[in-house]
Amino acid sequence: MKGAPKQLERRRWLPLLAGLGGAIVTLALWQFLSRYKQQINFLEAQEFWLPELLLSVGLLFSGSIARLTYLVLVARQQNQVIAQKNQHLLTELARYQEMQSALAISEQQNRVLLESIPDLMIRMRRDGFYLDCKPARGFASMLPPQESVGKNIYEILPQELADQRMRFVQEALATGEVQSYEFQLMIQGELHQQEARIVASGSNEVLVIIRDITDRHQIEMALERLMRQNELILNSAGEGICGLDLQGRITFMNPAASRMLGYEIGELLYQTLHTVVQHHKLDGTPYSIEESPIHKSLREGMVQHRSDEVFWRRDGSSFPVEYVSTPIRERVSEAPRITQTNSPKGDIQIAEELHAEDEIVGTVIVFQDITERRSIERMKDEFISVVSHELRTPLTSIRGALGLIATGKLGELSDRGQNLLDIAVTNADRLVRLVNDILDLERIESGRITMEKRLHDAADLIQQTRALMQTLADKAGVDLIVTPLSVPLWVDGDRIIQALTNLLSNAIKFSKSGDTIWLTAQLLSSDSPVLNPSSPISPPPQQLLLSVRDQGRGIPADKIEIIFGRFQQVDASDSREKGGTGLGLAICRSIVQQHDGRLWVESTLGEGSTFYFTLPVLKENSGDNATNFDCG
Amino acid sequence: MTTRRILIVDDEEDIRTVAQASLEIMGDWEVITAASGQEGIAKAEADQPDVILLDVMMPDIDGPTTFQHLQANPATAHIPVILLTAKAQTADQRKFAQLGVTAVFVKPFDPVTLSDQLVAALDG
Repeated sequence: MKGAPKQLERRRWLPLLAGLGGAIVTLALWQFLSRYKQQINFLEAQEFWLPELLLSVGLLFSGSIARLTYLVLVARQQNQVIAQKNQHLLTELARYQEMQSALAISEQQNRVLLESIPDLMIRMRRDGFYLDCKPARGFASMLPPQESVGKNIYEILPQELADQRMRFVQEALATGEVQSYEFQLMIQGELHQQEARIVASGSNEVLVIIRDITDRHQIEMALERLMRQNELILNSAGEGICGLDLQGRITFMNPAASRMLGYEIGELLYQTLHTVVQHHKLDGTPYSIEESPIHKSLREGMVQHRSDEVFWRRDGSSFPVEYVSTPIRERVSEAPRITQTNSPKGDIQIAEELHAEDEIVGTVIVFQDITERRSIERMKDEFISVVSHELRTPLTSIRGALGLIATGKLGELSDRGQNLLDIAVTNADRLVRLVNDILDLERIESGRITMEKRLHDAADLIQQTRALMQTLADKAGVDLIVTPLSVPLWVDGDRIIQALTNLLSNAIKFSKSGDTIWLTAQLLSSDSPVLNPSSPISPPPQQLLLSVRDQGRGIPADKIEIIFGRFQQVDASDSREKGGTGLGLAICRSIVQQHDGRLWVESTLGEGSTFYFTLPVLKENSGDNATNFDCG
Repeated sequence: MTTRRILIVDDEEDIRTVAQASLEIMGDWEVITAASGQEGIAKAEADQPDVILLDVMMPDIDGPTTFQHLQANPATAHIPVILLTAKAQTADQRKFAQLGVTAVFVKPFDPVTLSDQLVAALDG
C-alpha cells in the first residue's frame, strides 16, 4: 500500500511525455510541410492554412492523448486502492465470522451450563411479579417455569409461602444481603424440602434461587437417626465402651465405662487410658505402655482380646477385666502409585494408578468387669471337681468289684451269670468314659482347661499315638499305616494324642477285619484353599494337615456336620454297639480349635471316611519356644 | 516274689475293700487300711509299710497334705507314696506328680492290673 503513491507520482509524467511526443511529431510535420509546400503543387491553394490546421489538430490530438493517458493511469491507481480495501474488508469479515462462531459456541456452553444447574432461578420484581424463570431439569415446582413468567407470586405459591418469600424479598432489597431459608412444599402428593436464596438485583428486582434438598434432607435425617441410635446403644450398653486416638487418649466413653471406672466421663476425656486405668498389674508391678495389648493393637492394627488383666478404679481398687481392642481404620487418601514395567520390546512403561490407603486412626475398647463371672467359674470348677470325685468314687468300687469277680478267682459263674457280668463290666466302662468325656468337654469348651502348650515334634506325637492304638488295631484285624512328618508344633501333646487316638479309635470301630487305616501327616502351603483366611496383616502360619482315613461304611451327607455335635452319632445304636459316648468328636474339635486349627470330614458312603485336622506349624525363628522338643 | 506290705489310705470303705481284694487276689500283698489322713500317718509310722496308696480327696486332711506330713516325719519320709486321684485333668496329675510322690494313679483303677502297676511304679 505504501508503494502506491510513489508509483502514482512516477506515472504522473507519462501523460505529459505522451502529449510532448505528439507535439514534437506535429511540429516536425508542420516544419516539413512549410519547407516543401512549393514542391507540393496540389497544396498551393491552401498554402496559408494547411500547416497551421495540421499543427492545431496535432497539438489538440497530443493534448487528448496526454489527458487520456492521465485518466487511464488515475483509474488504474484507484482500482488498486479499491482492491486493497476489498482485501481488508474480506479479512475483517473472516474475523467477524470467527468471532460470531466463537460467540455461538460460548452461548451454547453457557446454556448447557445453566441448564445443568439443578436450581430453579427466578427474576422477580419487588411486587412479586415473575420477570423470568430459568427451568431446571427434573425440578419439582408448583407451576411449569415457562408458565410462571408474567404471573404474580400469589398466583403461584400458597398464601403462606408467598408471604414468607415476600418478607425475605423485602429484606434482601432493604439490606442488600443474601437471604436464605428452607421451606416445605407439597407437590403432586409428595412433600419436598426446598432451600431458597434471594439476592437483590438493583433496587426493584431480586434473583430467587431455589434448590430442592429433599434427598439431602432425608440423608441428614437418616444420619441423625443413626447417630441417635448409636448414642442410645452406647448409653444403654452394659459393657464399657471407649474410643482412643492414635496416642491412646480417650476420645469418647459411654456411661457404663465411666460407672465401672468410677470417673465422670468429662474427667477422662483426652486422658491416656493406660495411665489412668492400666498403670499397674494385679501383682502391683508397673505396667509399661509398650507391653499393653491395647497399644499393640494401635501399633499393629490387630484386634486384641484379653481376659487376664485388671483395670484400676478411681478409688484405687481394681477389677478383673475382659476387653477387646478393635483398631479403627479410615480410608485417608488415594495416593498415586507409580509402577514401571518393561515391555517385551524392551521399552520401559510407566503407569500411574490410584490406590486407596487405610490408616489406623484409633481403637475402640469394649470391656466388662468379670468379677462375677470369675466367681461363678470358681463355683463351677468346684462343682465339677466334686461331681468328678463323687461319680468316680462309686464307679471305682463298682468297676473294681466287677472286674475282680470277672477274673474267676472268687469262684466260677454259670455261663448266664458270666454273660450278665460281662454286660455289667462293659457298661461300667462305658459310664466311666462318659463321665470322663462330659467333664473333659465341659472344661475344654469353657476354657477352664488351659492347653499346656510345649514344643513337640509332630512325628513323635504320631508315633506315640500309633503305639497306643496298635494293639486295638491288631485285635480288630485292621492294618494301620502311619506316615509321620517331623515338624515343630507348639501344642498340648497329651491333647493332640487324645484327638488322634479318638479319631483312630472311631476308624477302627467302623472298619472290618482286613481293612486298612491310614494316619498321614503332610504340610500345606499357606495359599491352600483348605485354610481359613487369616489376618490381612500377617501372613498365616504354615499348617500341618493330619488325616485319618478308613474304609468303613462312610457318613451320609446330612450327618457330615452334626456328628461333631454333643451326643451325636451316625446311628443311634452306635453308642450301644460301638461303646462310644457321642462326645468324642466334639472333644476332638474343641481340642483342635484350642490350637487354632480346623477339624472336618470328607466321606463317601460305602467307601470310607477321612477326618482331617490342621495345626499351625511353629516358625523356625519363634524365639525361646524353639529350643528343645518335649517328647513326653 | 516276696510279700510286700501296703497301706491303703482312703475315706471310702468300698474303695478300700475293692483295692484290698484286688491286691490280695491278683498279687502278693499284705494290706493295711486307714480311713483318714490322720490314721494313715499313724499307721505308716507304726506299721512301716513298703508303699502307701494315698487318696487325694479326703475330709480331714487331703492326700497332698498327708504326704507332706509323711515327708516331714523321719520315720515315714522314706516310704514311697502313690497318690490315687479321681481328678482326670492332666494339669492336676502333673501338679500332684510335682509334689515328689512316686506315681499318680487315676480312679477308677483297673483291679486286675492294679498290683502290676504298683510293682512297676516301685521297681521302676
